[in-house]
Amino acid sequence: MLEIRGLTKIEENKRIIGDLTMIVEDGSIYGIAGGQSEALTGLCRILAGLADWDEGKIYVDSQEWDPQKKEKGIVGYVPAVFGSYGDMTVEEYMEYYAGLYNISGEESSTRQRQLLEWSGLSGRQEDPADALKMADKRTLALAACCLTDPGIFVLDDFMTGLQTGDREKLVSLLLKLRDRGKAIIITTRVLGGLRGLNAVIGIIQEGKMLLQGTIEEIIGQISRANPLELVVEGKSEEAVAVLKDEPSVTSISIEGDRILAGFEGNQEQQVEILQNMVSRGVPVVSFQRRKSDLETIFWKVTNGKEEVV
Amino acid sequence: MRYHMNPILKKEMKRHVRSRHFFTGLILYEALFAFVSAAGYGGVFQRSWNYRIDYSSAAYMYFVLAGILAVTVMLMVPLPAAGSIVGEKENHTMELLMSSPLGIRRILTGKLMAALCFAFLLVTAAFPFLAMAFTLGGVEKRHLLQLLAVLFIEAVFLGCIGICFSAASERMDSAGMWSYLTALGVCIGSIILEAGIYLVCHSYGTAAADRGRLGGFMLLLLGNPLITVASLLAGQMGYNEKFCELLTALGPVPEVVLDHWCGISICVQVVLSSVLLLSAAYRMKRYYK
Repeated sequence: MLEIRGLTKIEENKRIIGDLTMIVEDGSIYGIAGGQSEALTGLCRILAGLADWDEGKIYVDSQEWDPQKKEKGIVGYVPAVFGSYGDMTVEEYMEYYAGLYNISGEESSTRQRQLLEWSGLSGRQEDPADALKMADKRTLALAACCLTDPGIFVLDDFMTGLQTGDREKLVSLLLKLRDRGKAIIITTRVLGGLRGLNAVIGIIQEGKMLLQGTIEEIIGQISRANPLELVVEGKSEEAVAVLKDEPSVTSISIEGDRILAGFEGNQEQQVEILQNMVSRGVPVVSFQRRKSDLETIFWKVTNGKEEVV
Repeated sequence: MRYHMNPILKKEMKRHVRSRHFFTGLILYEALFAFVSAAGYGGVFQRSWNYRIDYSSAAYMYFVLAGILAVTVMLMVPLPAAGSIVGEKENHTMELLMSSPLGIRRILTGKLMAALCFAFLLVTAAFPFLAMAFTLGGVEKRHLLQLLAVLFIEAVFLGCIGICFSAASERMDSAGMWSYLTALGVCIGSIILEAGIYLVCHSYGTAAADRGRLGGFMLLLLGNPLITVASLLAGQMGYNEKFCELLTALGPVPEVVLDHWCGISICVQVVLSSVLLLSAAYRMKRYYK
């Protein structure tokens, strides 16, 4: 389990990460989304031991942990840009990675072969790593990380820019790792990249965590701020009168035949309003809470259009 | 205890060996060396038609070939060293490297050794030609070993210059340019500077008392690896006095420095190499901070 408490990083008098607190349980995927890549990449680099931070503590399995000690087997890091050397083959990349982590011998060779099979790259050992398509490069980088069998995976911008078919393959690999009890952190600037991962999501804005939770919880939190949307066929004054009587309705506006009401109630109160309308003879054509999709929520939140309380 | 080869050195050597230029360069260099040696040694024996064989002139071949080796190292080491760290940045492999537990010390050692390996392969390949002087007499085994050691120090020093600029630069072309300019400045430029000061002093008839104060400028040559090789060869060939005369052309130089020029210059270059490597390590450590 990875726990981050009050992590702050300041660079050139600018707060890149501000008082970040989060927990990533073993056997879970945590997706961090945000409009500013410097906060996301900054966090990944801190966890990979590349960068330092100004305040806060990091814990692994309840023990305080310093990523800069770079202990083998704690963190596997995949940076946003896959780098390789022009003529290096897939097999040589794995061997090089193993060498960097002082893993050698027959056991290492066996493990490399197994990981290439697991990742679906077993027929491509002799292919130049640079010539692989983006999804395969990321698969290779992930397979290489697995050489040290880390408990925590930190994947920077891992799911961005992938074709649908390729994405499914990577999602499948990540779910397998999750099922083996690994804690996986994925950063992304596009929230849609986290679909299918059953991830806990954290949305960062200006380095601060704005929202955390499952996708449904986050949609629920934001949606509670969405207005009620009614379409009535005539008797709009009657509909407005019903709405005015409701304490949970904060504002009312009319757009042609559409009535919008700012609503702070729950579903039961919503049902009550509809029942009151029907009992007073208001001809309701449609009655619903305006929905937001995840991307719209993300855009609104990270662009300050939606205030989060 | 099992030995684990530096993974960076292993990777770089594989890349070098795969390159077509590697074998072409090696063959051309060997051919050039063979030609020069054949011409030189052949000339020694051809004179036997009219003169007795002057075996001591074979020692001059050793001097010439050693000089060629020193210049080879000067030309072959800075560029690969300059591309070492900045190449990682351009390939986007710096994060992979720095996030590993390998450590900056081993990374720099691997890079330095990789930058030296081609130059040293050429030196080693040329050694049989050099060793022919040994069979003809006048050159001993220890002279060859001393030369090899001094060439190694020269290579390390020039390699450290390249690595320092590589760690400081963001682009390979600028790292290469600055590395070469500095290497040439240190090796050739310092000699030109001393020669220039000498010419200026004698052109303007500088007073002897003033010239006496200019001897200190010669101490700049302690950082010149080519002069270190020259001092070693002068000592081996028995030309110490002439060498000291050249070093005191601008004025007196402390006796202890003159007597131990080679050793002191090696120490100076080792210290400078350490400073350059520490500077490179500092820059690498701060790269993501």
